[in-house]
Amino acid sequence: MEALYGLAFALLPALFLIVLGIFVGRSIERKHFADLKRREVAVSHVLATQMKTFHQPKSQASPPIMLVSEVVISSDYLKSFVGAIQNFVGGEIHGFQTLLERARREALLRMKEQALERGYDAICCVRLNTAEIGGHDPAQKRAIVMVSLLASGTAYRRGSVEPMPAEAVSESASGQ
Amino acid sequence: MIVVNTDAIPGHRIVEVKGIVQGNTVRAKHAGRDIAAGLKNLVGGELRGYTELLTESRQEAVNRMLNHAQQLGANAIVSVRFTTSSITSGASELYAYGTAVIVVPEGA
Repeated sequence: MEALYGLAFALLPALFLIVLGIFVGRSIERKHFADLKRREVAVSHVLATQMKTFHQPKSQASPPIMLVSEVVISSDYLKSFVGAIQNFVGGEIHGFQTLLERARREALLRMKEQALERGYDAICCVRLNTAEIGGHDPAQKRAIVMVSLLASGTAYRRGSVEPMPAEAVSESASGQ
Repeated sequence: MIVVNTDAIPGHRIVEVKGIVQGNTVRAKHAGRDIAAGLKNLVGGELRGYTELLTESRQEAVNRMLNHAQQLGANAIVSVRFTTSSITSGASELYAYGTAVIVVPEGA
């Protein structure tokens, strides 16, 4: 019995952190997803492509500029714990997937927000790279589980789509 | 200076290519930031200290690249790319490189 108590006592901190992950970690993730959804609606008219060419650029406009955004998202204790177990048995690690998704969406979103701020309405040549920054926790002497992303793209102004001539419109309509 | 990561600039024509220009920086955060990140690692969320680290490094690397381009007498940089490498825990290198060119407005 004594040994059982001892074991429980030793496991208590880890258990506490897992419970913290279940409640706080999940709520932070849910909030982030809700926040992403809300902000994505606000910038939905900014066209983002990963093509190297400018799609429908406005001919007389200020020159394009390069935008860069960074984001570093941390895992929580529960995710890291489950991830470590999954790593042992193999298979898909869902918790880390959502982590990457959050980081990618956040990075793209920040770039679109920057574009809007500066009066641009399209971004091309979007590149999403994972950045390698060696996260280190000196207290626990281990690496930090996190995702760091560096996104870059070129913002430009898009010309309004030129209206098609009347006969072309009727042709394409009859063709369907 | 026009800086883009595409191969061309709409409304401009490349008249001279000056070659590759680059800038890099290796930066670290102080231990306080690392401890804060370690605590944040328990509950999840954005690690603002590290995001700042990336932003500062990127600005520094781009500035060095711009200086390099200015020395060559270019007025634009195209096809800019970024790469990072981790040297040791807590420090990272950010490397920015692109092609310095001289452009003139179309029709000039």
